[in-house]
Amino acid sequence: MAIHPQERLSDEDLILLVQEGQKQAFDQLVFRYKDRLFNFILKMVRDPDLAEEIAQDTFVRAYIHADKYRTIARFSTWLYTIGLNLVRNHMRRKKRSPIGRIPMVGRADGEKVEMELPDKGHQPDRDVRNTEMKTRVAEIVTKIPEHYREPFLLREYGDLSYEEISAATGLKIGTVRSRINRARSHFRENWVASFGTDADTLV
Amino acid sequence: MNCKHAKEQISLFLDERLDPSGQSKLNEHLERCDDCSAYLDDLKTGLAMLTDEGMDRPSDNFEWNLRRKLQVAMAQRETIRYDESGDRRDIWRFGLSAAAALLVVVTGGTFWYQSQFGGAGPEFMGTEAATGSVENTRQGRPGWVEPGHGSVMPVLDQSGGLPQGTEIDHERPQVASPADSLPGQDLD
Repeated sequence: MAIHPQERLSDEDLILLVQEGQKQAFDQLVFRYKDRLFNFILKMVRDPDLAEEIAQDTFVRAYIHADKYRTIARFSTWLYTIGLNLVRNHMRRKKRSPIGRIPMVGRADGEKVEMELPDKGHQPDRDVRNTEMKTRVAEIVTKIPEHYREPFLLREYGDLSYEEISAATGLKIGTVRSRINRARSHFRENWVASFGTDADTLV
Repeated sequence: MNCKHAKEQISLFLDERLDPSGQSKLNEHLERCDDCSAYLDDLKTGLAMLTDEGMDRPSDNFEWNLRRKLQVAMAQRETIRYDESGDRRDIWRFGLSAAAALLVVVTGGTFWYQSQFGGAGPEFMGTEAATGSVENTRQGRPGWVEPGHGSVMPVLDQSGGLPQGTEIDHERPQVASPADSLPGQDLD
């Protein structure tokens, strides 16, 4: 099978092509990053629809502001930083609007009760292979405290270095190293609780 | 090396940030510590699964929705640009309108002044404009240059009259011609 010339190019070369007006180069970047970026965001917000929205918004911003990208940073660092900022914005908005404000609906007997909101994490019509294993892995990750989870996921999904995570999060490198270590400790603890020590036999 | 330190070193090892000396010390610890060995094995398995089989996939509509969002974003961007250029056009339009209105007011005011009081206009219109009929001079109309300020006009006395010895020719038209006020020309 013939390899498209753009597949050979680095991320940085592709975004430079986008800057020069070759919009097709952006498709290749979306192809390369959509899965990992989506998973990074999903493990932060725990809502697949919202994760898709934020991932798409991340790409939109990267495209619209492609001219602002400078080669001093890897494209992936730049992209994940945009995604992280959007996730943080969402988290801030979520904290400002507490869950207590669930709309009230009237029952037949006249009493008003809280409306049941659908569990967006388990939508049957989603075309995602929500196997039991994936669900369990997601649960394991989302149990990690948020401030440890953020650098941990940037490391695991974004493959960012400690220095890049430091630049993206504003944390000191020592703090990044420490938080990733603590996140892994939580991850392993939750992993053993879910799968036992011999994970391979349960998959 | 205690287990807490070993786990920190394991994390660095997984990120390929442990130097050979550190790796050697960690290996020594792992050889005699089953807990830390299990910790490393579980992490290796779990983290590999996190980015492999444990990965979710976005929906099949992901690219389609992204393309739609991009189109909307680009259209909005163009609209903002258009609006900004429209704002600039509006500023120019307002400026030109204001300048035209000012011109009309000044010109109209001058003609009104001339029709009411004669002369070319009040002092602010210029030195030459500070000329007028003798009648106007007598009535002490506003807009006349104070004496001693470079005016070409004759100096008035305190009562607003003409200087002593100046005679008025009542045969002359009430509205002075510009020639009457030429510098150096004596009044009758």
